[in-house]
Amino acid sequence: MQIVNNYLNSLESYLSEDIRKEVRDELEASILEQVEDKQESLGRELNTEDIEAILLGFGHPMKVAAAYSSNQELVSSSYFPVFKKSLELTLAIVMIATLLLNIPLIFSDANFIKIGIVLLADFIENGVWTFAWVTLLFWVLQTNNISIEGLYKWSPKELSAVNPKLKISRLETLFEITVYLIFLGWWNGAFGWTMTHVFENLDKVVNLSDEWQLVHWSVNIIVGLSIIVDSIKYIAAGWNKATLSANMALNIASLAVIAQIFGFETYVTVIENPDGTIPLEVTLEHARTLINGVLGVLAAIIAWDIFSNYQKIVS
Amino acid sequence: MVKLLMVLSMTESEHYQKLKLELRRGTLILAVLAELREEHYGYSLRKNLLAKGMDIDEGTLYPLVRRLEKQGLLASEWREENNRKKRFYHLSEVGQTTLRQLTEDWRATEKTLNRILDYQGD
Repeated sequence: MQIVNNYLNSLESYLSEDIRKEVRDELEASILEQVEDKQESLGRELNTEDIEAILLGFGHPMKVAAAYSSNQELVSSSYFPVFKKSLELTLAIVMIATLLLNIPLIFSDANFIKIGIVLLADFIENGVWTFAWVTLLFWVLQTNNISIEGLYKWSPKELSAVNPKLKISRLETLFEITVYLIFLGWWNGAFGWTMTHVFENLDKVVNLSDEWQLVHWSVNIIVGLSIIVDSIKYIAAGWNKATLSANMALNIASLAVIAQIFGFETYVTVIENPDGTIPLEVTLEHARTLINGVLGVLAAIIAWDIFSNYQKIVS
Repeated sequence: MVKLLMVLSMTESEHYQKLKLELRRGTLILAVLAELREEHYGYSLRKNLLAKGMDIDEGTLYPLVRRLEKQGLLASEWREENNRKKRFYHLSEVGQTTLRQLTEDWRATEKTLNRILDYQGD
């Protein structure tokens, strides 16, 4: 009966100390009685295959042992909805914190790919830790039978009127925040106003004119506030009147800044023109047309956003 | 998405087996409690249930009986029978009351369900 002994030894190894002996004795008695019953019905001694069939009827030792334990779920169904929501919120906060803590890197001269890889690696590392801690917290609550039923107390009257149209995608918002942060890095670090080259070709070096300094701080404030509004949107995963109004106000301010930029006499200055293959006036004209085009598109997007926010407020 | 693929990959028979298991799960407790109005040890309980048409594998039955005992619905004692130590189970007082209540619930549910199943519409 070595095979029976092996089965019971294996089963014992999965059981807790306090029930190990009792369970083993009970199952051993049952297996041996089944063996005797089968021997009697077949009229012969059982071979290994016969005994194996009996043991297979009991199931895998690990599964049988698990059935003896009362708590077999890391987070049970009654805790799971709150657990899931807590994970969503904490991971959202971790994502924002990862972006904010990496602002020095975003503002540095490092290239976008490197910044992206560092941000992703940081988020994965912090996210895994957060996941583990939140799961552990709920496991402790559940193991100690600490009720969270209070969180499920509700009344239809207390439910806020959430319009599905006002829901937003966290991914889109995160993308917006990332773009804003990278823009701020470029605007403040790489700009350099009179000395840093914005673009260059083979025969000319073109800089932004000094007039851009007039909008330096207004752009910083608008983009900074936009990041704050987006962070609130990201955590709440939806619009509310306050964020909609703030967004509209920021869009209107952006339009005012764009109008101010449209009024610049010169957008760019050309520092060098070594061989004069393209006339200076043509270069300036091209630059002006290009910047006007970009500003026009930007203004149209912002105007549409204002209109869309207005519709949301009305609805 | 993964969940959807898993559901789609399940065959009709697998769906049926899963639903059948769910349907059966609650009834096992009632059957075990009812059978333990008379004293039994694990193997004799299984044999008696099987003789009445209820086949429960050992890996399910023994832990279930132990859980019911832990909940105070069953009482048990170790005794020697035919030179072998066995654990005998029987209904406790709480178990008897619970069995009575569950039996009433079962009969009411059965009646309701039969009415729904037999309903042919107007």
